[in-house]
Parts: sequence; structure tokens; C-alpha cells
Amino acid sequence: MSWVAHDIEPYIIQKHLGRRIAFVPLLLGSYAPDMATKWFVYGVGAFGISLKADDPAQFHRGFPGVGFTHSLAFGVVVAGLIYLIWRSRIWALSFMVGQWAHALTDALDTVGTMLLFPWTHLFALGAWAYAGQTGRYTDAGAYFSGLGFVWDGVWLVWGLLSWRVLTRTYFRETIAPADPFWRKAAQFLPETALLAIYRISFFYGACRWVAWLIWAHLVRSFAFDLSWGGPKWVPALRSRDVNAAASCPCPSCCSASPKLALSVVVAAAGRLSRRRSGRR
Amino acid sequence: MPLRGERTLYALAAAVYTGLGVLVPELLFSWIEAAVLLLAVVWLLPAGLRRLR
Repeated sequence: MSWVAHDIEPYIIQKHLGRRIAFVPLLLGSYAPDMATKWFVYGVGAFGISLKADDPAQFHRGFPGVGFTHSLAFGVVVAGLIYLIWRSRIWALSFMVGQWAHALTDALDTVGTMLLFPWTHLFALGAWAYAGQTGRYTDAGAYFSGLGFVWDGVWLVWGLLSWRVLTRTYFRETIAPADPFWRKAAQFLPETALLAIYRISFFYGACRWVAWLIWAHLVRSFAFDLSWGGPKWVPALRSRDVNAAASCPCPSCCSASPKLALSVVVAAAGRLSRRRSGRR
Repeated sequence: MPLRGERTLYALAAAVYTGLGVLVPELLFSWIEAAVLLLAVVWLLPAGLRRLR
């Protein structure tokens, strides 16, 4: 998982795509995979009741679980729904780009993501340790001691080099015209507030990057380990640890996911073909 | 608002949020709390002060 990249990436993408993309759905797409799931990974407690996934990594990245939220297909499906509901191509496309950025970024850790779901294979580059199962503070300490914080730092520096994307002029000329959200919001809020809303995620990401680094290495004493897949002091999970228990080793079940994927593709192609011939 | 004043307010908000985040890391998990703090420092407080004057 990534701690700051999901906050900053939308600004960089925005810079490169300009008015061809709308910022709000882009940001929502970037946050979407973790939005409804992360609290259950780390666990929450209230009134003596504690809620936490029995197997956080399986829940977060696997299937069974909600790992499909980190797949490219999830972005396509939600983008399709957005298009069906709001008839906005730019909103649909922006959401999909943001969600794909999240899914691809998370494929850099040791567990990875099921990018091609319904195929349940986890694509993992393994650059830094996935330690979500250890709890949020150990996870933070591990992430900000390994290559994860370097990756986030690259995005942060890239964001700072793209500072024009944060200016009032850019907001007026590029952000606001591309998305009716800002026109509607402008009926209730002054430009200063709209600009602050637009900048929140950059502010959040940049401050968090600095604060977590200080916390992990000055307040606490987590050891830096910039080795590939590190830090080695944390019990990292690997992609082989996820989806393993759920699968039956028999040949039929082993091929179930590819079969399901093939069935979906054939059904979709058949439907598309029928629709085309119906039009003729 | 002049650009310099705006920059100062953002820098103040960043310093407050980062400082509080180091002291109470729980804050760093919440996007909503960061949003409320930023809006309060760069918009609500200056607007309130202007009205009082």
C-alpha cells in the first residue's frame, strides 16, 4: 500500500492531461479502492466492540475479500456506472484513471494487486513490505523506513516541481472549466474556499509525509532499511500468502478464475455483437 | 487576498497540522481533519477576522 502517492498522483496526472480530465472524480478514483476498506484492515473499536478483518491482507487485496477494488476491471465497471448515471464521459474517464493509478501503485509492494481480476493472480513488484496486518502504527513505521517513503518522496518532489498546477490561475483556467462541480460549488463558497478544497489532498499528502518521517525516526526509533522488499525487520506478507488458503489445489478449482474471466469476456463479446447486429 | 498572505496562511496550516500529527499521529489518518484544519486556517479564520474589523 502507498501512504502519500494516492494524494499527490492526481495533481501530476491533472498537469499532464489538463482539461481532458476532471479533478474531483480523478481524486475520488485515486482514493476509491481504500475508501471503504482500510478501516476494516486496521480495525476500529467503539463502545467495547472491535471490528477488524480476521485476515487483513486477504480482505484488503485478496479474493474472497475486497481485493477486486484494486483491479483495473473495478475502475472500468465504476466508470461505466458513472457514465450510465451522469452521462459524463469526462467524469467516468477521470475516475477510471485515478483508480488505475491506485491499483498500479499498490502493485509495487510485496502483496501486490489483482490487476486483471477476475483472474485472481496478484501482480507484485515487491519494492516495499506490505505490513497492514501488523496494525497501523507498525505499518506506518515500516512504510516510512523502506522504499515506500522514497516512492512517495518522488511523487512529492514531482508535485512540487509541478507547482503551477496548484496556483489560482491554473485553477481558474483549467480545473474549474473542466468540471461543473466547481461551478455549482461556487454558488455557495468563495474562490478562496474552493481553492483550498482543490489543494487539500496535496496539503494532506505533503504534511503527512513529513510528519510520519519525523514520528517514525525521531519520536520512535524505527530503523531505515532501503533494501528491496524492506524493511526486513517487519514481518512482511507476500503475494503467495494471499488467496492461498481460499483455493482448493484440485486442477478444476485452480483453473476456476481463468474460466470465470473467459466466461465474462465471452458473455460481454456476445452481448456487444448482438447489440451491433440489432442496430444494423 | 494578496499572494504573500495566502502563502503565509498555508505555511501556518502546514506547520500546525504537521506538528499536531507528530504529537498525535492518529490525526494523520484522517483526511477530513486535515481538510477542516486547512479550511479553518486559510478561509474561515481570516474571513471571521475581516468581519470583526
